Amino acid sequence: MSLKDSIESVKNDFLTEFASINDSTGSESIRQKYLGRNGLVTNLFKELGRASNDDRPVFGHLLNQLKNELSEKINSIQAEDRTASDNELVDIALPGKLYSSGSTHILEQTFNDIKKIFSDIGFSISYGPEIDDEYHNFTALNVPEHHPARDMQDTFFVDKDIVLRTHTSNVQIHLMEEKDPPLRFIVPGRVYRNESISYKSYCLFHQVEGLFVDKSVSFAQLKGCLEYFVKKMFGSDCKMRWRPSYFPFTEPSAEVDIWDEQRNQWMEILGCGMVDPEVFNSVNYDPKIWRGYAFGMGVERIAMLKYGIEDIRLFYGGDIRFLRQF
Amino acid sequence: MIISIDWLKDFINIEETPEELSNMLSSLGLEAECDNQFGDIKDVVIGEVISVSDHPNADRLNVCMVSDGQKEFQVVCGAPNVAEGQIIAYAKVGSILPGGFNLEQIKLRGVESNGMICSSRELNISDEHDGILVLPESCTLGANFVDEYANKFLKIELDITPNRPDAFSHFGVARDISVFKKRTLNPLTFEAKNTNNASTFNISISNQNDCPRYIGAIVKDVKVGPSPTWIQDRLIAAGQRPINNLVDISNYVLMEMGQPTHIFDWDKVSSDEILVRRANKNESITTLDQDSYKLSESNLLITDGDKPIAVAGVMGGFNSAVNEETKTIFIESAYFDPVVIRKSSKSLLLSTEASKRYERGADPQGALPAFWKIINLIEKYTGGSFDGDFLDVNHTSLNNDSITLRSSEIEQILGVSLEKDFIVEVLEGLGFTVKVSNDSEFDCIPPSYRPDIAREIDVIEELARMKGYDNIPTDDSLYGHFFIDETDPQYYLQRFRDKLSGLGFFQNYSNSLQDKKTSNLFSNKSIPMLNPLSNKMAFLRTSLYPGLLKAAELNIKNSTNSLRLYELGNIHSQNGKKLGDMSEEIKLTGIILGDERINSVHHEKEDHDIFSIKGMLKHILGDSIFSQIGMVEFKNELYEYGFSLDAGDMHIGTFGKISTKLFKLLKISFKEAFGFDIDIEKIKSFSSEKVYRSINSLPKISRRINLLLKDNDSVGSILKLIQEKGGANLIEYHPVEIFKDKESIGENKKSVVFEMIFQHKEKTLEDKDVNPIIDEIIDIAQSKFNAKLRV
Repeated sequence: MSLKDSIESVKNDFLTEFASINDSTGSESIRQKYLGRNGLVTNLFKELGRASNDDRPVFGHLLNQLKNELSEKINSIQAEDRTASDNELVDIALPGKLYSSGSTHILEQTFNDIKKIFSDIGFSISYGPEIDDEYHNFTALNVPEHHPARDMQDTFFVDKDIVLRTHTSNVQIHLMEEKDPPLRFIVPGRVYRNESISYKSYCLFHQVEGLFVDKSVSFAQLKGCLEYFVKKMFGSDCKMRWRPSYFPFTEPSAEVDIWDEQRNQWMEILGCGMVDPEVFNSVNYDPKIWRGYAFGMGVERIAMLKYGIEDIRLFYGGDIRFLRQF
Repeated sequence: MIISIDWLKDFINIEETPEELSNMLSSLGLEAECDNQFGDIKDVVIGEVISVSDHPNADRLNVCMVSDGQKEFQVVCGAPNVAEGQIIAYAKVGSILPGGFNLEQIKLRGVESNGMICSSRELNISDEHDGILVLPESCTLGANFVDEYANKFLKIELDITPNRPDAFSHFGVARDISVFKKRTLNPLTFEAKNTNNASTFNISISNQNDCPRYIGAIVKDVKVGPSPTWIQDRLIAAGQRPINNLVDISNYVLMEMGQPTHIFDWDKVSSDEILVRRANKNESITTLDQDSYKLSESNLLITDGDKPIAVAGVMGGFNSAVNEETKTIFIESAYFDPVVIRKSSKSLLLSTEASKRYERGADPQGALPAFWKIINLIEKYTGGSFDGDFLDVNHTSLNNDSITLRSSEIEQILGVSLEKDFIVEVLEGLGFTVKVSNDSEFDCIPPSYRPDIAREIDVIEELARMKGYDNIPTDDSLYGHFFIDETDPQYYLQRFRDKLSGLGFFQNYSNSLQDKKTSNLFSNKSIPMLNPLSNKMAFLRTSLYPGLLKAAELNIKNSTNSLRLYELGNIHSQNGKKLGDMSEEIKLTGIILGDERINSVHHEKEDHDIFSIKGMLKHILGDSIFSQIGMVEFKNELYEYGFSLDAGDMHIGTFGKISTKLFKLLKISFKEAFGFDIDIEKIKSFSSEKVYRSINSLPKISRRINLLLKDNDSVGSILKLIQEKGGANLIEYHPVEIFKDKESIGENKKSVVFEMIFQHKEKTLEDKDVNPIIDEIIDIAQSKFNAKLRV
């Protein structure tokens, strides 16, 4: 057998054998068999000395090619296998690298939940000033100057006639002054009350106001809208009740309570009612044509009920032990 | 207002438990709360004190033998009023008191005590705790205390809204229940007496608008003393403290009928005249409770023709107050203007049971029945005699205007139609005079005790209330118009919040009210409150930094060593005193402090620095906006070093290293923080429209030049040069390496490698396209910016 034939035959033997191996142990023994000190390929190199001077470079080239091809193939299978069985440990018990994560405030998240629920049923969103005149905060909302209703909200005064709004209802008036009916808006925002600070009250809080004005708006629709809201917010099995109440800017007025399993009692979550004709008169809407409903809810209160937060001051302290829970 | 359930039963049948009654009243619009008043009490019985002897080891304690009718028990008692023969409430060993307090056998200063003799407060009857509660002798020994005695003290607390003066009494509450539950309402009982044509006194009213009605009468020979037990018990149940028979009777009528009355000691009044007038400046009065008040024209007074003897509708004067010596009394039952009483009560900061009712609007026609009830009770319980010495100065109108109520409007407003019979029954029950003019219209005249009802809508509310809001059907159809307005004008802010969360920032909400010093740190135009809660919260904030730094301080104290915090909120300032001079801006402000990366098995710790902020700003604002913003040094006490963010002429915000001065002023203990402060509304003016460009897959050419610069030279000038000369195909450029080494490049020098990447839109760039540009940049860098090319 010529050296060239021997090369061919060793190569074919290798390929046959190589096809059947599939792990690093097999590949190591095949390396020994062909490329080891007494390996078949190594031995062929030894025969190179016996070849003629003309043939030697040619066979030398072929042998080198064979050697490279074999070691490449063996290396490839060994490399593939190394990921599976390795002597280097990937200790996955070590912590991952740290990527710090933050969060939006729970009040912001609650605002977003409320905005989403009302946007879904056609409400647009509007904002208004925190500092306003008494006219927009009280008078135009049918709260006359010397009326006990003003005691319902302790007011911060900036000047004789200028207040920090006590509710987002001031924006009802701004909206109706700017726009012709019909309209359907919610108004999120910060409001202020001159109340001493405790676990259940703070000098400011956040509200979402709602206003819907059209030609045939009814109390039954108001009930539909807010029952939808409460069930979206607190779950479809949430128990709620409607109570008559009093707000100067709505007539009839109502308050909505939900049943709080934890405290085993009814908890008030929002006030609402049919827009009082006096309010329409102050913005020059004809109350004989236009009717509406309005509602207002405290964002803190909703978050406190939903998540069982007991102390309102937690919302404003910036304590990350609180913030990171949401 | 506290109502006694037992008292309510005078007028209406009540079968409900206190809790059920409370829920019913709430659904009527009389928001009610009842605590489980006697629910916790177990095994407290009626007992009798058999004997009282001194405690051997304590002066203030007594050792009593108490009988429950079967056995006797030794009980140590500390009450000063304990005495032999008293019938008392005895809490045995094993019994439970309100609040779950469980009685055990104990030794008090060495003497065994089996249970306790209770006070009113310990049994939730009243706040009285000066001694033990002594029960009437009629109580059965050994009987359960709650069943035998306490139930008549069951009460419910009502929060009466300002529109409902009619419900500010037991009778008023009963009237609502009777209509709601269709139960018979027992009428008020009183007996009118004969009156004389001429009185011994005179009443004059300087302005009849202030006081449309004033009834006065004189009763002689009263004997002041304790009122009968049943009146005292009722007052206690309604949260009032019994004083003497005259005061108690006046309070009783107030709580029962809602009409305030006042009783003067007529012998102390030096004239035969009552003059109702406004106070003069410099006048003053000492009230019943012996407080002095300076008066003003806001105060309506009852005077003896000269000096004040009462602040009308608010409180009586000390100079004419009844006491044990009183013999002849003058009784006032009046109707005052609600606004006048409100202003008067507000100006004195004095709110009383009387003023609360008058300012809501008392019943002008209720003054007389209440007056007769007072006369009846006084004659019966004080021995006084009324011989007809009486005046009723009445300018009130008897007729309220009629209101037309349309069925169609009821259906329109409520979304449900109501039966004619229901409408008539409810309105008549509430005291309206109703005339059915045709099948769909009603003429309704509201009663005099409903000043809140003047319009059709007010009548509809009454009908809805009595229908029960829960019984009005829910309409869940979607009625109305579509709107194409922007759904949420602040929607763009969510993008920033999301990015900040991704960067590890927590959002903070902080108090808008600050002390003067803090709010003035950032602006001298901060807005003060006229009536602040305290000096610490007297001004509106002018920056969000203080709130964030104070929150950071709290967290650092709680062992946080790395923090990223931001707030998105309004700040305020003023340029004048008018509303138009006050401005409100939304700010996005953030701070970072401590470690950017904490020490871990994977990497060493790394501190936050100014480039953390710069990198974050790029991320938060986005590449497109960030690339339009220039940064120049911003000198301000706020920052140790700071930079302003500007887009052309528009100032967008600042960022920098917070100054130690600010830390000191805010009393912050940590030493280093970086912050940014952005007028986020201005960011809205950058186009937020998304622009698509087709993807360029042509090869890019990258070039690097290594320039030797002075250490103090900013790379900015070279970057600007590259930008200017790079031409249209330059798509990216930035410094990629800075190298300083005294040995190899010399002192005060730095070697900076700038990378430039070029790409053409339509063709593959070749060296010859880029080389001249690079050469030019190198040339100018060397000639104008003292840079040296390093090879």
